[in-house]
Amino acid sequence: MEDFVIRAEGVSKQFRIGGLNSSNSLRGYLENLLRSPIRAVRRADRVYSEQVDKAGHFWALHDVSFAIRPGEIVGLMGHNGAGKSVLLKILSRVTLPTEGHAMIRGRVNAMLEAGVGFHPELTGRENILLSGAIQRKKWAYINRQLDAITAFSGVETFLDTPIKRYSSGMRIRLGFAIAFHMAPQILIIDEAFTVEDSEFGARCQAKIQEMAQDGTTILIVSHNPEPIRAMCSRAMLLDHGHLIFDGAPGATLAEYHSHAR
Amino acid sequence: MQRNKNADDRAQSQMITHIRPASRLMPIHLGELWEYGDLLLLLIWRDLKVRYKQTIIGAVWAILQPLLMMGVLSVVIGWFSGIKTGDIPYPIFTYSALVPWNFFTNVLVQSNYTILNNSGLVTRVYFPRLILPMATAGIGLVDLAIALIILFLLIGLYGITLTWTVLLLPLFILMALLTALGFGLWLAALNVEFRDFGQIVPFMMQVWFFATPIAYPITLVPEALRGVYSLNPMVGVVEGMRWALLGKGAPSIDQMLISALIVILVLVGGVIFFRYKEVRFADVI
Repeated sequence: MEDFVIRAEGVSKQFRIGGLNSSNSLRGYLENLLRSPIRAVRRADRVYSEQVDKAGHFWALHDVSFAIRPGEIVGLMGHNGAGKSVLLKILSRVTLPTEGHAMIRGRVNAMLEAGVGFHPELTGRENILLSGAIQRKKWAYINRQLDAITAFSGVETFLDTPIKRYSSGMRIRLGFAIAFHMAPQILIIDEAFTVEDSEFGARCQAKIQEMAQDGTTILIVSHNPEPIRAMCSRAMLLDHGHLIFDGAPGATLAEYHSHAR
Repeated sequence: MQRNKNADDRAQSQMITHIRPASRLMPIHLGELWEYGDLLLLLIWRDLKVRYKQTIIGAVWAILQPLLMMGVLSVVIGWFSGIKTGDIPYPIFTYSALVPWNFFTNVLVQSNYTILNNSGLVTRVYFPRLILPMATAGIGLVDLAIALIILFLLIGLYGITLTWTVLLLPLFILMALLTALGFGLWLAALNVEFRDFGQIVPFMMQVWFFATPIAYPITLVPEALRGVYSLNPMVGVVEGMRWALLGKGAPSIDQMLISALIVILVLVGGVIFFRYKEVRFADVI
C-alpha cells in the first residue's frame, strides 16, 4: 500500500435543505404528515441552484478524492460555502460522508474552533484537563504538558481564573496551545489564522512547521493567502463542493483568485 | 517534549480509521467507550461543579426536593386519604420510593437536553456520543447518593432496623440506573430531531408518577392488573428498593422479572436507536 496518512475516495456529502421537511419539531412533523400530498406541488415552484438536485438535496461535497503523505502541510482553500469545513468535519469524524470513503492512518486531532469544549465557569487549568480528555488524553499526559501549554499561550498568571474572565484573545491562544500539545499525528485546523495577534500568529506558524518536521501531518483551512504561501507544501482548492485544483501553493492561490465568485 | 510518546501513542500510530457512510445498524465499540472513561468522569464533574457554582442552594436542592415531596404526600395521601402502609410509617414508606423516583425523573428530564447543551462539542469534535447520556445518568447517581444518606438517617430516626435485604440495594440501584439510562437514550436522540419533544416529558412524568407505587402501596392495585402494571419498570425498581431498605413487602418474582425484562428491552433498543440517530446529530443541531 502506498504511503499515505489521509486518503479520500469519492467523498460526497449531502444535506437536506429548506422545504417543509426542515421544521425540526414534533408539531411540524405531524403537520407535514397531514399535508404530505401537497408537498410535491409546493416543491415544484422552488428555485434550484446547480448544487441542489430536484429532490431538494444540497451537495456540499461532490466526489472529492485525494491522498496526503506523512509530514505534509496541506492548505485547503475555497470561497465561503465551498465545502472546506464539511470536508474537515468528515475527516475528523464529526459527521459522516453520504457517499465515498476515507482512510486515516494514525490519530487525528482536529481543532475546528479554538477552545472547543471550554466551559466559561471552569478555570484555565480545568479546561485544559477537559480539552485533553476530549482528545482522548490521560490526565497524567496532560499534566506533563501543562507547563508547555501555559508557556505557549502566555496565560500563566490566569491559570486558576475562570475562563469567562479571559479576553477572547487569551481564550484563542489557550485553544491553540492545547491543540499543539496533544501530540497529534494528524492535525486539522479550521480557519487557523484569524488570530488578531500577529506575534502569536508567527509563533503558531513556527510551531506548525516544527511539528511537520517531526512527522506530524497538517491540514489547514485559511481564508488568508499569506500563511498558506508561507507554510504549506501543497494546497487544494474547493469550489462548490468540487476539488478543482491540487498543487503547489502559488499555483493554487492564482487559481483561487481567478475563481472569484 | 513532543517526543514524549507513551506506549498508548505507539499503538494508535498504526491504527487505521475507516470513514464510511452511515449504515442502519451502527456497531457499538465498548473498548472505545472505555477509553473515553476520563471524559465521562470529567463531564460529570464539570456539570456538578458548574451547578453548585451557579445556584446558591446547590446540593441542598438534591436533599430538599424529595423531602418536600415526602412532606406533601404524607399530609395529602398519608393523613387526609388515610391510606394504610402496614407497620411502615407513611413518610418513610413514600420517601424510600421518592429517592429512586427523583433520580429517574431528573435523569429523564436532563437527558432531553444533553445533546443540545453540548452542541459545541457535538458539532466540532469526535467522541462517542453515548458518553453524553451516560454523563447525565452519572450526575443523577451523585444526587441519588446524597438522597440515600438522608434516607438512612430517616430510617435510623424512625427506629427501623435494617435486615439482610439491604445487601440487595446495589442491585436495585443498578436497575434504576439502567432504566433511567435506557429511557434517557431514547429521549436524548428524539429531542435532537423534535425540539418540542422535551415539553411532553414533564407531563409524561406526572402520569408515570401515579402509575408507580410511590404514594400508595402496590396492594391497592387489583391482583388481576398487577402483570400489566409491572410493565412499568419503575414498579420493579421502587418495590425492590423499598424491600431492600425496609425489609418488608418482598416483591413477587414474576413482577420483578417482567420489570427487568422491560428494562433490558428499553436499554438495548435505546442504544440501537441512539446510535442510529447519532450519525445525524452534528448535521441537524
